[in-house]
Amino acid sequence: MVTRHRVTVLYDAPDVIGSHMSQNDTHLTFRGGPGVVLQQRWLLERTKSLDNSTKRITWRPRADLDRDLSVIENDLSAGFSVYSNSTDVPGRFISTPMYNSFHSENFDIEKHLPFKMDLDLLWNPEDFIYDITVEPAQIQIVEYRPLKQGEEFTVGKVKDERLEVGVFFVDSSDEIDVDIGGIRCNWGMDDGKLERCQKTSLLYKQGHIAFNRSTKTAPLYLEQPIGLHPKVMIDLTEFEERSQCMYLMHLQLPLELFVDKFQSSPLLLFGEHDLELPQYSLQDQAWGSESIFELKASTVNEITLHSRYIEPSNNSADKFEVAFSPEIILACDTGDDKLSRNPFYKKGLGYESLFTDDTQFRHLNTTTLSVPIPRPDMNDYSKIKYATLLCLLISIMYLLSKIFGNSKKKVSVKQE
Amino acid sequence: MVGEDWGLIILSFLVRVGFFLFGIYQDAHFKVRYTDIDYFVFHDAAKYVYEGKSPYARDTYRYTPLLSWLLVPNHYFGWFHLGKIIFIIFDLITGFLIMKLLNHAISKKRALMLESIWLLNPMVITISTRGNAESVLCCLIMLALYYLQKGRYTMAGLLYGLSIHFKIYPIIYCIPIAIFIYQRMRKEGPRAQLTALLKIGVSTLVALLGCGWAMYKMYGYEFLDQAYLYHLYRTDHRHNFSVWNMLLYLDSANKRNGGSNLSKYAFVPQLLLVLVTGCLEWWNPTFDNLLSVLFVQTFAFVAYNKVCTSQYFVWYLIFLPFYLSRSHISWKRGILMVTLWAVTQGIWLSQGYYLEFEGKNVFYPGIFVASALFFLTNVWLLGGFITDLKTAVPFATASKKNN
Repeated sequence: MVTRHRVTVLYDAPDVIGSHMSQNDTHLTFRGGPGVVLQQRWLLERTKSLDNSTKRITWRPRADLDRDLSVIENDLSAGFSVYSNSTDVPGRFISTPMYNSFHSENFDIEKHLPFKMDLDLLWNPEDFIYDITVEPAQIQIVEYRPLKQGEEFTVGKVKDERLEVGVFFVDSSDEIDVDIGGIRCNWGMDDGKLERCQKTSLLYKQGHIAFNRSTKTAPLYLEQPIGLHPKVMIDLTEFEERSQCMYLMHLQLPLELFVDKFQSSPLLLFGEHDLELPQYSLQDQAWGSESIFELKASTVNEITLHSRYIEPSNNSADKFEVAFSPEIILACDTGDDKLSRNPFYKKGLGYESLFTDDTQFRHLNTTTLSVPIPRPDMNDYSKIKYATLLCLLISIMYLLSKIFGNSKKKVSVKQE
Repeated sequence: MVGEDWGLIILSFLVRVGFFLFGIYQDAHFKVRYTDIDYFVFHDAAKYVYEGKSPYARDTYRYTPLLSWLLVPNHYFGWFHLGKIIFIIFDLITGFLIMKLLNHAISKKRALMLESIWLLNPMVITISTRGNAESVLCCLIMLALYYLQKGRYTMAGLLYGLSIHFKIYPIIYCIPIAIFIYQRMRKEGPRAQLTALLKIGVSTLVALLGCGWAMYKMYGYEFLDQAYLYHLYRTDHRHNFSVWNMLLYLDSANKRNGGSNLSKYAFVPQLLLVLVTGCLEWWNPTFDNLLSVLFVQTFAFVAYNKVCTSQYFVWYLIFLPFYLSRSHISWKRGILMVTLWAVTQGIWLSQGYYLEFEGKNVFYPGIFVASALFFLTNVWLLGGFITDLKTAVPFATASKKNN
């Protein structure tokens, strides 16, 4: 079966392309630089698909959150996420009206993409970003990587694949429309030789854009000191109300933290939100929760979370910290459904499917926050057990002696 | 009732109105709300009832449906704070009943001071004005005792049964109450004794089982599960004053690894002490002594309970005026007792603050040692109360006229 393989490299300016690219008969080589992004996409056909469901798997390393989004990318949530519209999902998935989801800190691809793929692909979760869609007829794997200064990437056709490479620079872009220009190259199907490159330009609309952080910032932090009710502070003082738009915070919270829907009234809340149970009695049931809060412009927003009690440690030196990455988004209705897909990405399962197709997401800030959760040490267990027992025994003996013993009746009786 | 009594009631009412209004103001203007979290639960549950649904549709509603019924007017009149006024009324009636039941052999000034322990107590006032339902239960218990004193056993039983329906714990009072009735009717012969006991026993059961059956019919298994069974299987791992707390947390986490479960037997010492202190009524079976015994018994129950928060202190606070009216504890000793109680509680609260608001790992020794100290202080106080109770006989003879 033929795999379709497409490589896209995005540079800042047209003159950079010439100096950063070289070629021979069969291969193209790209050199990295600041802000250079490389996307690879593989389309694999599926013959026997047993079900009609769609699944999306995304991965983004936390370290990548600092990088600005380029015009060929959508903004993915930090960590490992699996979304499925099938009702038949493994345990610990949580359900929303649009999908069932799983989220984790670990890139657990083998477990969730158990297909034998005839693909020469080395997973690199440390540096790369993945957006994988499994549909009944095909599997689409998209990989993003920043091509840094001093790095090189060489591509040539391998057996049984159809290769296409595009090299672009941004011609112009505004809030919605993007115009990119460059060249597109194809390879001969039989000889594996670079056939021809031609000038090309693409005009499309963006569903996700990065908010220009140099003009305004939306600081995101935890109120100090952090107790058992961590307060997420979102400073939107520099931002104004916009018509057709909503300021939102999207949260994927691990089980150790939860939202009290009665106290902080989220717009949407899915997954584990039990208000009382400790983490260790829920850990087989759900991975955590997903929620969306509406925020107010021109003010500092405060969202209070709560931490669950967690399993005691076996060593008091172990500090337990739990990380999560709130995403601050300005979601706007545009009335234009075309931005739900473009040549580089389309909206899929995940929080974006909870919004209408014409919604554009502007990403103001995503910051990883870390909450320390205190926990007792199991090494103190016997001390606590015997001290409790001692307190009880002494108290019972003392009180029984008071009740049944002869009290000294010499107490002077005071007259009223 | 004389002018001074009405004066105290009116003053208590005005103070509560002041707290109530301040609460509305604080809710509207401050980040930290005055209204108790539980009040939101009652209020939401009442909304479901108002809409003809089950109050258990509200997560964490773990009480009798009757409580949510009480707050239905909130939604009928569309005023969130209305239910707090209902709680304030129950709170004031409780104060009024304390006045009625307090032995009149003591001086007027002393009586007013003792009544103020309930009526002008800032803790009591904040509890009802913040919208905590504890005053409803206190009122039911006091009312039951009021009818018990009057010798109207059926009425007393119905109210007592209702109070057990509200919260299970008043069931511990059945022993001293039974002893009191048995001894009081002694002169009238075994037949009268049995009749009186049957009257109160059957009426208690009628109220308790009747309410339970009616609620079960209306709301099904969810009522039994949430209002009663939940309190049996809950883990109570979150920090609170109880000496059992750390062990409960560690044991609940350890369950998966097959650890010990000593904490499962938390009810044993509690039951033992509640039974034994309840029997203190036997040696001095007067009504005044009954109220003091209830104080000591409740104090023991709270001290040994596997969960303990400050709202539980109200459970014995309703009996404190009666207890003090007969106490022989000297001022000096009394101040020492109060100070120790407050200081050990303060130590715990400081540790609780470090954990809750600063995220410091003070589970051990901090929280644990603090709760052990608070527990031991409570036990020492309890020992003092018991000794005092046993020496209180001379005064009791003087008060027998009152029965």
